[in-house]
Amino acid sequence: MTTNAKTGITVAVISAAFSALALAFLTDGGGPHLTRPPIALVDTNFLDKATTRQSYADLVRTGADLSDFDCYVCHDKKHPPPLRLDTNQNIIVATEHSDIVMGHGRHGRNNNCFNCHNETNLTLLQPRDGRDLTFADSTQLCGSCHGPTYRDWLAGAHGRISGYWDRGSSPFAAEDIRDLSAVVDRLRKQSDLVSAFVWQKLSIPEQAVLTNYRPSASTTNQAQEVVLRALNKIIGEPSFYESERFKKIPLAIATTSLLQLNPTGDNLIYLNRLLLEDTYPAELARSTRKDCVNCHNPHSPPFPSRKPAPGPHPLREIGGTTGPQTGQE
Amino acid sequence: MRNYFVFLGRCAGIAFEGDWRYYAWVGLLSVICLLGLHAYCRQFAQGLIVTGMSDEVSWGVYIANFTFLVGVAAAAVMMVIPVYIYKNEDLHDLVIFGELLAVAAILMCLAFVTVDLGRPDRFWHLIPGIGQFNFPRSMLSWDVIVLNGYLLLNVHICGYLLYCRYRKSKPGKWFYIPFVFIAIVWAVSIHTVTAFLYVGLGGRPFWNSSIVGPRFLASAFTAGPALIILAMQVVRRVTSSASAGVGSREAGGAPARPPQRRAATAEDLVALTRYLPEIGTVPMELRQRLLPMAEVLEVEPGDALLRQGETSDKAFFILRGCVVVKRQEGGRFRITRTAGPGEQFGEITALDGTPRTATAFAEEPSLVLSLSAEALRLLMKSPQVEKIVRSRMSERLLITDRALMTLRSIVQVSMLINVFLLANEVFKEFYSGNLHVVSSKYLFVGLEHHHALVPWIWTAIAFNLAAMVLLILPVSRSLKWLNVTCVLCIVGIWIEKGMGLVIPGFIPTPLGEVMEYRPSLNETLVCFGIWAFGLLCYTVFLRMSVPILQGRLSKENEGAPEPSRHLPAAASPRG
Amino acid sequence: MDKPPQSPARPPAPPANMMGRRSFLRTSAVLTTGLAALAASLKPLLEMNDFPTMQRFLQKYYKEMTPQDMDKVLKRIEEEVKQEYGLRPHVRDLKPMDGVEFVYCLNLTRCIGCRKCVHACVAENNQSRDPEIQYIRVLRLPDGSLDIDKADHFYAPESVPEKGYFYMPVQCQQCKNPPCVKVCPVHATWQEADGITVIDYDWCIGCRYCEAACPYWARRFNFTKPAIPKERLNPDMAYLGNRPRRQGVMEKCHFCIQRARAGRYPACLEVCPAGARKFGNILDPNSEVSYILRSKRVFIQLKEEMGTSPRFFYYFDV
Repeated sequence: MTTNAKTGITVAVISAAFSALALAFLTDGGGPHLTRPPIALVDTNFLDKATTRQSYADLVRTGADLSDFDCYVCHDKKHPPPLRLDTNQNIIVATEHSDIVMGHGRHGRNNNCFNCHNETNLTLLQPRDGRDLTFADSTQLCGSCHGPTYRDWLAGAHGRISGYWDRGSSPFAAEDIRDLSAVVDRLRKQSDLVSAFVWQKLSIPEQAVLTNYRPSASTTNQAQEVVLRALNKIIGEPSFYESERFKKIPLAIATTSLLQLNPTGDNLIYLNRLLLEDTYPAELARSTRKDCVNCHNPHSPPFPSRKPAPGPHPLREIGGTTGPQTGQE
Repeated sequence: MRNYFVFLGRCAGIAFEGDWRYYAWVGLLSVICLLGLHAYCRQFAQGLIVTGMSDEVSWGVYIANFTFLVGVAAAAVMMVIPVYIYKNEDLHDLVIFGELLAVAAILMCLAFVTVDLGRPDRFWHLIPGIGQFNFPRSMLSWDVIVLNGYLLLNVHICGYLLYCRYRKSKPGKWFYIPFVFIAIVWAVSIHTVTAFLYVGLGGRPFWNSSIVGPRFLASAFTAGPALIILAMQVVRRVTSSASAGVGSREAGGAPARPPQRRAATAEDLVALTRYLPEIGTVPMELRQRLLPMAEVLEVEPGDALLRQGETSDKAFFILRGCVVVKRQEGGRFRITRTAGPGEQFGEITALDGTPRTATAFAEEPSLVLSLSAEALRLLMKSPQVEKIVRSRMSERLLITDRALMTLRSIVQVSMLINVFLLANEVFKEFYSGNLHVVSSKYLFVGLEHHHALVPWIWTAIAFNLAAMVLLILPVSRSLKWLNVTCVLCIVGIWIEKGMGLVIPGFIPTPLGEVMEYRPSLNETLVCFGIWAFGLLCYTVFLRMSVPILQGRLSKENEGAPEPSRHLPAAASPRG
Repeated sequence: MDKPPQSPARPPAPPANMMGRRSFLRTSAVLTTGLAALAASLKPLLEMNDFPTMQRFLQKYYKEMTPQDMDKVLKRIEEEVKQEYGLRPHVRDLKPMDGVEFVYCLNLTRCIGCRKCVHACVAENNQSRDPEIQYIRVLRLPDGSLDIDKADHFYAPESVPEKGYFYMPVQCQQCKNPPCVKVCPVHATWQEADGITVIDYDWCIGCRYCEAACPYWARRFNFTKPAIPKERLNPDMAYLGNRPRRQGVMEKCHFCIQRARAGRYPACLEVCPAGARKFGNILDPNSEVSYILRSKRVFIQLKEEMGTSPRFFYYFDV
């Protein structure tokens, strides 16, 4: 075969190859579309920021049903409830309180109800130092024994806090308003003294906006802005606390302790915010540290275990398990 | 300036010309390139998820290939040292081929880095002054500078030397010698900077070791020259095989009788002048002086005038008839060229005293003028004679076996150092028994049930050790065994520098997770595409530079019809 | 005298014009088919729905943008997010607050390994769900060892915490001496005045050198276009924070910069049921983080020997 012919054949083969390639590229459906099993969206339970438990103070602030705490519906004011112990000196919990599981301290150390409860006045708690504490102040009780933890809690190093690390600049933001209609309602009805105070601070057009507010999309933004502006203006001003104004409003421990310090500057801003939060406990998000009982069951305090959220989904199937000491699932 | 564009145009033109083997090779490479391009477009559209990389192993074969090729590029230029520093003339033409290989390798490196980027469309962010170039803190910025600088250096040196050869003018020393020396230093720096990319990361104890830099250089100088040894043999075969496509012929037997000799006379020189007019410029006194050192031989077809492997100081000019030059390679004879009246053979090895690289047989009854080296030198005192003789010499490229042996010694020493450094590394990792050994454990013995890399690294070590042994033994002086050794070197070092260095640095992650890595099909296609692109570049570079070096593509024959295919100059009639 | 030598076995050359036509045909055949194949190979680019626009291509570096430039960019981002997700976000460029340096403390006595922080982070920061990007990786370590190689990343028991183990969540440590900032070739990542190491997502070229450099495996790469479910998009965004990223760029924990620079706690802290996470301004002596570093006897930085000087402290209740 002559070289000329060979060249001809080679060129023909190459052209054919190019054409085949062009055809393959044009008809190829976009290549290796990856087939990974789809990753399910995580259950919204795992995104929930709410505390595990509600404290008595939370229940009071949100106006929840407190009938469970009315001890003297069943008990006799004149006679403290008797304790019954079994052969091992463990408390036998009455069937009416069967939801209570005693587990506060090992070896039955803290097995006696009246270590914490006041037998002569069941609506009070009694710490070691003889003070009387309401259920709303239960944190003080815990702290009377758990000193180091309580100190940490006061400094913010123990327990949960939400909201603002910057106590000073803590204006209300849109997501802090959990129930706009309720806030607007209270404001325009001036249903309590604080709301009246806030309402007075609004300008006429702003009041009109709130009066005309209906829970529909178009008016929400406007109303929200009015409310935010009003609240944020107040917290930036000098203290608006007056005992008369806040007579009917239960204040949290954090609020009262801060109030006693007569704060100024950043702390004053923080105090004003706390006062407003205490006024609208259900409608505005709280930004303070949580109480002990928000996480710990006082009768059985060890932190409950729970199902963990799903682990990581590595990008590649290869390997994907752990290092030398593989903890197999 | 216009001349330069003509030069470039002709270079571009000649890249499209060749014989069927050239077309087949270029065609094959183009097909692979296109496959790679398509795969890359898929990656550009869908993201790097089409590769096998992950957050755990965030660099893969792209960077592995990049690391290997930076070494090749660095080593390719290091051959410059023997030529310019030790004045080893054997390697002269090899320097250009070495630098062209460096250019092709750097282009591949740049391609590999580009395909590895998540946002190559934001490349301009790297440009100092326009973007935000983090120099000198980021080693990657150093790498950008040294790689591009190296590319420019080599393009300049090759381009300048080739252009001068094209114009048949002597290259101005100041235009290239300083750059050559800069290139030597720069070559070391590109690979050291690439090593520092890895060494500087304190969070990856597998890489954060001072041995990485020296190992890079040692392995680069093993694999690079090995590649060049292989490439040069291909160049040698392809550029000097006969046009008629005759593959091989049987070797001629020993002459039945010794050729008839007689002393040369002045008439013989005049006869030569018919075919080689430049001889006419040689003054009478010189002719008188050289005649006693000259003979005329009368040979019959099949007589051998010089034999491959012998050393002799005789150079030959053909007065009448035809001589065919054949080279024995691995048991087969290959015709390298045929020579007619006025043409010369054997003059190169006569002048530098190296063994003959081929055997010359008479094809028909011929009359041949034999000159001793000294006589030839006298003849070459005439500038015109020197010019034509030298240009005829360079038409046949000087890839002598001795050059290949010099390269072999570089590979030998580098491989010994490489293996020694490997031993150092293994000892350091495994003897002390501390916890930082985890990545090495994964590489050499596997971790728990993860041992994807273990067969790879042991293959690489076996190849490297075998190559080292072969290099120490004299058996690797034979080209066949040398080629086997070179392949072992290249593959072994590609594995150890690529998979054996880049991947174990990521396994386990700094948080102890083990995630293995396997390149995807798309990723592999892109790699092949870039390799094909690099080989294509190198092929085209050679296709352009060989005719220039041979003198067949020069300013003198501008406007004349292009030399087509691989017709050796000897076949074109003179006189 | 003598005739020139014949080359062996060469066929007679074809007539000149036929040679010319043949080679022209050959050349054009190869060139046409070659160019066709070349054009066809580019087809996947047509299917790309996120092709860079000229505006995005020319966008300036964050530190070189004037407030007007930034305004335009923010508006454009809002438009793009509205187009893509049907929800108009609020994108701000928050600047560091004066006199603030953020520090994160994590109580290893309290962490129960529930991984709620991981998912709260994903929700807050609009991370890709598929493929999944999580800034936080919770390690389960056996009691008595801080050897990272003994860590289990994929534990999935019925309930946590498990006896004999403790849990250590790891995320970007916002180091004082960050190796990632050192190695980035285009300054796409840098440390701000309040200690947060940030990334300009529109400047990153995706070389992943920072990912190799980080000793804590804190940085993540977008291997493809992130998939954010529309119904879970968080519209409260910041330019250097949780605005949706594109394929091919890096991202990592930024201490919820859109929250922290507005005075709020990061999402991981707020969701932690055990209160194990603490965050605040170390320059404020009254902050809880100052208290912790002042009063706790035992607190550690991960891989301290790296010299990175992280702003993340793990402490125990002692």
